[in-house]
Amino acid sequence: TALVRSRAGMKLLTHNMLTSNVKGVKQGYPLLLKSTAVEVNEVEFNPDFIIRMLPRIEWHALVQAMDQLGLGDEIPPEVPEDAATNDDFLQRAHHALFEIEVKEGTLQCPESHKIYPISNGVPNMLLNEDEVEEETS
Amino acid sequence: ALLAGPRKYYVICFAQAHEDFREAELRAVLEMFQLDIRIHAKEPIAQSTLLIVDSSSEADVRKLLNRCVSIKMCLELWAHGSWPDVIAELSRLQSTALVAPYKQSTFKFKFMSVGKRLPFSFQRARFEDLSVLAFEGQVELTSPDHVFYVFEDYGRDHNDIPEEPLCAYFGLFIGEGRRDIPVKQNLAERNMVGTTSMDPELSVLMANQGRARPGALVVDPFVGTASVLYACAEFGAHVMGSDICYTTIHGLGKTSRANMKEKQRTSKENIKSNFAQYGLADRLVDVLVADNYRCAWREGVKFDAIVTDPPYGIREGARKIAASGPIPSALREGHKPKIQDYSLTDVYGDLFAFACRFLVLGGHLVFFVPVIRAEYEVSKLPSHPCFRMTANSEQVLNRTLSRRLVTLVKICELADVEVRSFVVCPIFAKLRSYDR
Repeated sequence: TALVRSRAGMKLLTHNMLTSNVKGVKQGYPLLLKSTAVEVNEVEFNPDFIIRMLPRIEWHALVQAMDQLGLGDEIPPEVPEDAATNDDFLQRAHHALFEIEVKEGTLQCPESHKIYPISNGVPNMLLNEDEVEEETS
Repeated sequence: ALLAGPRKYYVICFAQAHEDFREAELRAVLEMFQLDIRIHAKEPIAQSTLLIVDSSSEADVRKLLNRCVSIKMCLELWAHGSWPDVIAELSRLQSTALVAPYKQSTFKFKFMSVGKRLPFSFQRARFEDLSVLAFEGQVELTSPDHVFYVFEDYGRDHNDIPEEPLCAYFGLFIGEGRRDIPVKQNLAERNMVGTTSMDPELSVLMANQGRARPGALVVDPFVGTASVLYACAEFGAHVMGSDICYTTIHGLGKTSRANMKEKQRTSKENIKSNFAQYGLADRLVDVLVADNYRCAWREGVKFDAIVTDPPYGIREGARKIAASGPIPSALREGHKPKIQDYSLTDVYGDLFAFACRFLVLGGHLVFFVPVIRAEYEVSKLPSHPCFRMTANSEQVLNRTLSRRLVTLVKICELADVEVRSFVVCPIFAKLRSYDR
């Protein structure tokens, strides 16, 4: 029978793409990541997809997230020039972006300190009514 | 049916479902993989079960079959016309290079008709006529080297079925389309469904319009139970989704399964478990709880396609967080934000605003839109100067209403412009009265 495995938590690729959307916040990125439960799950390595995603990733935010999980030494501080042909780098990027899953924790806006919970692996980016802009129309 | 050079004719047999989506699917796949296939349509493709094409490459034909849910199967076409014409042509071809490679193989004949049921004795008479091919190999019913088909088309007028077929076709079976995906992803056996889960066949059609493929990142900003994303992932894309509904994303609340109305969803009724059920867990990046109106994606995020079925109020209303004054700190703990209705024009306006910011140039924006059939005009569909329409197919819902799957390609970026002001949605003027 095929291996049937359920995904556990938020991936760091997702963390890399999210920002604080609280009204009035100028610098809401990257979100501070705190985790009380992390799982590492093996995910099929797809170098072509990683290469396509690299220009869309804020590497410093990924490094910061890995640091906040105590895993900072698993990825290099900068994207190497030969990234697209550097298999060791692509494996590490793959591991950081896809294999580390935050099951429980929080994302925090660096400016307003608004906390977005991650529960059961799902980040909740909803704001409360007093945190959204009034409609202009 | 011999062509000059290496080109060959093929005949595609479509499934009898979602006819208005066939041509759009075909053309999307041809464009996505730059396939060398030329279409020879004598009438609108939506109205014909069979379509003749020609190609220099059987591999290209197989790539087409590997993506199209509209296609039932495909033959390499050897002869077509009236049945005597087919037999005359086959008797001429049997001594040519086209037939030579199949002379010694084991084989089986199969018969299929459109518009008329024919008894087995009729089919056997047809097979006997095929002796003009002078095949020397053995008939092998269980695992033949090659399968050949007779297709006969008796038209679509069920009150006037002709004695003789309008056209008969004979050819070598090449392969089937992707009718297997909706079977695999059928809602009855899916771990978790919702009240508005998309028909899996339509999901495949949507995934093709979005050009979902390996290396692509596809997002559904109204993800619901993620029906659209399973089809995209099946085609190799990585997928993400968001929805304002916390209970759906977490697989909480009451189950939508019939005859289980009172029960809460079980622990396996959730989106991630559906991806695992289909062996697609590695293609799911994440689904999150978010409000499209107050976007949580950072500047610079780019998706290769946006494929979505927005909530347009016929079965599921659209919602967003209501703005208000400060909430007393005593009430903050466990506070659930107040949600307000979200007009159709705003839903599509925000979708365009989202696509302007987060879709790559050349990427596709694919969405369903409800229309009143009597008032439909293509010019009334939501439009935006950064997008050009590439396809628009109708699914009829009832006498009054239909929904159309609209595909737009992003043709330019807008910088520092209030994008929402560009969106034109005249189609919604009267539709509000049909909501809920």
